[in-house]
Amino acid sequence: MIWTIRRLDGVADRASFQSTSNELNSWLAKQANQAQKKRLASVFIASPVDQPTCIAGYYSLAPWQIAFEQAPVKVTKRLPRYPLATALLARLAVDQSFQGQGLGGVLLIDALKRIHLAAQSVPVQVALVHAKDDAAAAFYRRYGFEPFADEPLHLFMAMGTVEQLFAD
Amino acid sequence: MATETIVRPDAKGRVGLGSYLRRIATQLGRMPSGFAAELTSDGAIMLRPRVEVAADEASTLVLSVADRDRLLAAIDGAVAPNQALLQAKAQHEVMVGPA
Ligand SMILES: CC(C)(COP(=O)(O)OP(=O)(O)OC[C@H]1O[C@@H](n2cnc3c(N)ncnc32)[C@H](O)[C@@H]1OP(=O)(O)O)[C@@H](O)C(=O)NCCC(=O)NCCS
Repeated sequence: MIWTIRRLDGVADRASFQSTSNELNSWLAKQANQAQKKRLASVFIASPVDQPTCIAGYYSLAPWQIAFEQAPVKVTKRLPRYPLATALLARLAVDQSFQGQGLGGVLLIDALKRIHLAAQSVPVQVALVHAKDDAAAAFYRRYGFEPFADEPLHLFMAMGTVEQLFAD
Repeated sequence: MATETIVRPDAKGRVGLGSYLRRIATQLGRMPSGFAAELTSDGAIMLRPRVEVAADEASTLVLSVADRDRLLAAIDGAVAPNQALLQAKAQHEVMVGPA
């Protein structure tokens, strides 16, 4: 099967999306449109090429920043910009009827690709993901995202790694 | 309605704020978290209430010292993408049509 991935639009049937996470289903159905309109998040949906109304999976991106409890002069001098400009992959989910076909991984790559392209115009230093629970964190760890010791549901990837991924 | 006020110390240098505080709390819908005080040329005190607005913590992740150092080390020496990431990228190329 071939998917198209596009920005959330009025064509897609948001209400029928059913992943295993009620929270992520409800966000897509009730909040995603508004979040996108208010420029708080960008939402991207995957549909089978021949079914543009069907949402097989989605993810959302948002601007974020990382600050430090303590930032000694030595550290702030070294950093070109503080707090660190961060691209957040806030949500990612696959409809249950499409799970286990590689779509989750494909959506993750798609998100990283968009972050990579965006970072060429407006630089960001870190890609960050919010995992909703331990199982979600395990999904991201598989791809090399590193959890913070004190924030295990926040995992990061340095933009240098993302750049290497898309360098060719 | 203006929220600032001018208070005049009495002969003993005291100022009474009771009625002002009640008025300002009603006006702001809460107690102010502080005041900026300025001495006027005639010896009175101009008070301007401040209300602290909670920083938007929702869009900032604040790291501990240990996590900060890990992140900075990772930024300096970014590791190569792992096998799972490379495989997913290959799959993306096959499975995703033009956007
Ligand atoms: C996590 C989720 C997105 C995975 O979607 P999917 O399309 O089934 O995933 P894929 O088919 O692309 O799986 C890719 C690989 O990750 C593995 N994987 C899937 N879920 C995993 C998990 N929770 N932990 C570790 N590995 C996981 C798969 O086994 C597969 O490995 P393989 O290629 O060796 O077989 C999906 O299960 C989901 O929507 N869950 C609910 C929402 C959620 O947890 N989102 C995470 C971010 S908040």
